[in-house]
Amino acid sequence: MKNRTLVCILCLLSFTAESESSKEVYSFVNDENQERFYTLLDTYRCPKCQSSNLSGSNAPIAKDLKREIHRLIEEGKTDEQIEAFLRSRYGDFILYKPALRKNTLILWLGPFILLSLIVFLVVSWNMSSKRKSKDLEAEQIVKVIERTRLKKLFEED
Amino acid sequence: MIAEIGHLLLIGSLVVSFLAGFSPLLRFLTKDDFFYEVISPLNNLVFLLIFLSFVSLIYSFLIDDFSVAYIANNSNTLLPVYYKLAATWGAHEGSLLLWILCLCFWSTSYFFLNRKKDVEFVALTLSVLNQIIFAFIAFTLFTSNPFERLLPIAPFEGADLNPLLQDFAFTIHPPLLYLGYSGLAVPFALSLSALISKKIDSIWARDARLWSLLSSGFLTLGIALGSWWAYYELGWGGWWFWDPVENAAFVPWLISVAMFHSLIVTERRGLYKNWSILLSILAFAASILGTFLVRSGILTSVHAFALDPERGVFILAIFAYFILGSLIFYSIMNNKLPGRSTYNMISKEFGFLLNNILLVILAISIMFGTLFPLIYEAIYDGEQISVGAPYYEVLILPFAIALSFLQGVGLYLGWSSTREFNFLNRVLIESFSLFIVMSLLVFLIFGTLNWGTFLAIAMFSWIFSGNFIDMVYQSSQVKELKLVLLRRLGMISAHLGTAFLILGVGIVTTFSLEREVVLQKGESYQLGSTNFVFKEIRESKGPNYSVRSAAIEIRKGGLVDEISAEKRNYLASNQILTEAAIKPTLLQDYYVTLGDQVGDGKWSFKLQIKPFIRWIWFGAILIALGTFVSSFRQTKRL
Amino acid sequence: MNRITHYLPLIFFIFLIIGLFTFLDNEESDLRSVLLDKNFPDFSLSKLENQEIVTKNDLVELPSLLNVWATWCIACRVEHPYLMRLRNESTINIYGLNYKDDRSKAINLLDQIGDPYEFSIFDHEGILAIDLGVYGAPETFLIDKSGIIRVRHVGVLTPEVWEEKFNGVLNDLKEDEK
Repeated sequence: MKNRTLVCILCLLSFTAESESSKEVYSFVNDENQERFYTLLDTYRCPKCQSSNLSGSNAPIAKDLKREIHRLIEEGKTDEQIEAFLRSRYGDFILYKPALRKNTLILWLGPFILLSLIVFLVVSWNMSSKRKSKDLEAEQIVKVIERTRLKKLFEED
Repeated sequence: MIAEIGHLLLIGSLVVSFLAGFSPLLRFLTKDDFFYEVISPLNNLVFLLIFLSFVSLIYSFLIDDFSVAYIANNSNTLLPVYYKLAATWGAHEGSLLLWILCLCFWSTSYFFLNRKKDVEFVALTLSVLNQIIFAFIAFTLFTSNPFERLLPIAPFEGADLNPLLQDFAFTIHPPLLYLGYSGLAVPFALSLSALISKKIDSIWARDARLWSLLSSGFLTLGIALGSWWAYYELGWGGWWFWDPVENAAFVPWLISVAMFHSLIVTERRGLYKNWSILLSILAFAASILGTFLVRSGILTSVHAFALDPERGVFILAIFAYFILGSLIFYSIMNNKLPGRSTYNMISKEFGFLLNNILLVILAISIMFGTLFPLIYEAIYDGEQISVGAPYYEVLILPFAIALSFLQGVGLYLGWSSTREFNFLNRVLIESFSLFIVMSLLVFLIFGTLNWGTFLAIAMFSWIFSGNFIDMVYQSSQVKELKLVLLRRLGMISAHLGTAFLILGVGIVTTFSLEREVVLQKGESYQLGSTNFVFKEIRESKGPNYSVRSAAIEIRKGGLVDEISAEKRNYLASNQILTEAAIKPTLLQDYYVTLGDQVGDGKWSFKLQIKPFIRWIWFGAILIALGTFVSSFRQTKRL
Repeated sequence: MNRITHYLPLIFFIFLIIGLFTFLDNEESDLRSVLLDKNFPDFSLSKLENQEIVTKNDLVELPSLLNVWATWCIACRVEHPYLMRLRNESTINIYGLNYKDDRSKAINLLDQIGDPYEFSIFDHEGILAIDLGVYGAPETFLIDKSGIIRVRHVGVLTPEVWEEKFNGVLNDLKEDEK
């Protein structure tokens, strides 16, 4: 008796789970695939739209590409393979994340190199400036000492 | 008829602004102070003329004068009155007139607040502002005239305002944004005056700081409003796309923030004079550059005004004149006696310097990223590349972390050097405690945590501790606390605003859920712990559109509410617009868009849950409020 | 050192302005195809007119054109007369790629307005289109005799476009053959 109820409950549960996925336009074998799917949609550009990613586009080509990405994910392809698939057909244009290459290095590294360079310059300028003003101070102290000594010498005379 | 008057007024303002703008030349030649004194009344006259011209354009919209090409292209008899008003700035030509009006408002405000001050300085500042006004009026009149007529045969009906723009937020987004953009002209003009009259002092710094705070505040509001509008109007659930036009507003904002921070040091310690001048030129340059990017057709974007390169050349010429001109003055006449940097590296001065550097390099990088596809295409013979959100998100993160760190400790650094370091212990303990509490809360609400959320909570806790908790802790009495808070209200509000904004961004980025589903009438779908029930399709009519709406019931815990996702058919233009259904709550937004009919009684939907997204705009409003409070206090110092 | 740094912003902006000025000349706003000088992709789809399966090997009589069209594509109607002209006046073959369309509607349309194609490939799901990097209609490809894609045009095919983009390449191909 208990077993039967358990089986019934399990059936009901799997039924609801399955019925949920049957309502999904894109259903997946597991949650990880599903997450990957929605993440990838944000990183590819709709080739037809003025400026939109696949996630936010209703264009026919966007829908087709979503379908293809879904198929590729379910077939077990990696993110790199999916990117290669899209790139070989639509070029770099479709990637919202510029590929890391020699000629995009300036884009990816430029800001941080510039930042480090300027901070370095500023810090070293600051330190040398302080050294200069400390030297100046030291000079002045020496001058004052000299003067008082001279004064004393004169007074003693 | 009224349109013709408006046109004439615009021509008149062209002449008067020219006179006001170049009067100092006559003063230089004749040495007669009259040519300084006459600038103020001329400036005010320009404001009056532009204001009346703008009013006549609005009036023409309200009476459906379709003999005016701009009105025929952007309005319609069916358009509700409040949108006819907004249509005045709904497209390129009219929005330019609004921009000019905003600038005139600023220049006249500057006059009113400074009319009892140094005649030469005020005259020079006003003349620079009027040169800018003149340049933009010329651009409008010669390439983008809103008063152009379609005579002798005026159409009976107009084309209609773009349905995307028939919306309340859009009504106020451009005015706020333009007040921000054009407001940056005032610190720019002040800097030029200071350079030319060699009065780069704390009076100038105090003035410049006021106007940079004001424009920054309006830019904050304008950008936040744009983000909110894109969220609920465009239907894809996103709130920032790193679109070229969005970047064009973000970059001047970043520089304006650097500018009013740098001016604190200039006002108090007489340092960073060259930095502050340069920042004011950069901020204005970014503002004009933004105008150029958006209106020259050089970049494709969802909300660029689709225009031609000829107009681009004109704006570029304006850009070259003002920016190269001011930079020539800067190179030659900059402050020759920079303050000896005798300050320690652990000091307020150095903190502000780092702040300047971080913000400016971030701004330059974002601008570079925006222009990179163009540069790449030019170098590599037409090969196309895209730079989008994934790049900018990687870019901004380290800068945000560094800036957050500075925000937390800035208050406790000393001028010249910091003697007492106890604050570090306190802030660390306070922020760690808050971090634990927030992490627990987030875990309770969402059932999971990840690195992104940890980072966002960490930054939030750090800023919150450094700018509020420690203050409370340090005050021995409520009275003392009240005084401290009031004194630093602007700063606290703005910094807390960034904390909330960062928290909102972190959470919505890591915990958003979305699903595309197909539902039969009566069916429901469970997303996360929320049940979305498709009740039915209803048909109805709006003032100038017909509607098909899907009633969606949202069930979560005790909450039961109904929202409707619409597809609107705008009758005049026959355009179909999707209106998302949004149910906002304190902790998350429920977001539903109606898709297509997929068979009998079956419709497709996109369901989304956006946690903490309102905190982003709440944070932005706090920032704007803080900025305005600080500017109000600044006026008291004038 | 200080003097020079003060001139840096000026120099930077001079370059920026020059750069922006050159960008204004930019005309090309369509996506350039990455399949230029690459092999035409393999496929296996049915013809529009019947259930007969065609593959890449059935695209004989190269060099030839492949024209992407659909009944829902209004611009395709605009270029249709010119396609008919090309069919009649020149020696080039035109194959059709019926893109995401309704089979009977498409057949009816060709009956009504004329069929410039040797045959049309029925690409209901847009699979071959995606392999070709197509993102809308109309689009036209020029394929040379080795099955390599030489030209891709997005938009209506007009006499001007033909002159500018296709004719020159076609003549070069004919030269090579000799």
